Amino acid sequence: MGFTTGGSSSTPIFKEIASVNITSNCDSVSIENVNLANDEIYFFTILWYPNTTGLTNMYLYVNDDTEATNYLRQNFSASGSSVGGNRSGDAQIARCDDGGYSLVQGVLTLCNNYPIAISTSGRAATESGMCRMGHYWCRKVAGNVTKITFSAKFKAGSRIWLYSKK
Amino acid sequence: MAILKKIKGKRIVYDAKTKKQREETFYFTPEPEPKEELELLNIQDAIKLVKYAKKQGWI
Repeated sequence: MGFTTGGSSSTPIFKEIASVNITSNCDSVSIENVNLANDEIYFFTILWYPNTTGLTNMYLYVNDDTEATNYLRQNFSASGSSVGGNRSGDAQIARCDDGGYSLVQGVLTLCNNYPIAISTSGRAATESGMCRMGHYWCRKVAGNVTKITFSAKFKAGSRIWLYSKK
Repeated sequence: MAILKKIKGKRIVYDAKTKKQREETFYFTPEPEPKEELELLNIQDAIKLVKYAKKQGWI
């Protein structure tokens, strides 16, 4: 399955990599065997019901690397083997305020072996949930990106979709 | 440096190749809880506040 151009066309323009149905409360969701290709664009959408009230964050890790010092939050630029920008030190991609629910949308692409997650703003359909985003980060990887992990307090009913551009 | 305690958690793992998912237990160090970010006081509002406080004789 995948997104189509609509109308009479039924040709998918995005290929579905993963569709994860979170059937029970959990602390983390991993997608393995993703094998992200360099310079290919991936889109993720997450329907996030946090399993908590109050402020809570979501993080994105690559290949089980949770070392905060390996993540650089930066202005969107990457060239050659260097990455500019300010070191932030974490891989946070989203924040939810009050236990409502949020749609988290982002782009994950590889550029010169830097996986770059670009978060876009999300807003819940109800007034009870709010998500604040707007930053992105890089991490240089030694090998292929085979596994990505969304670390957050997920409530059952949450969903994660990952697509690549065909 | 403080030693961060690991806690037991549950992870859902989706295999993009087989399209199957499973649950597993893992131990992890939670990231620090986010804190409310205080909004910076606007300087004009601060001046108004000081003037008002002076007028009231509070300062």
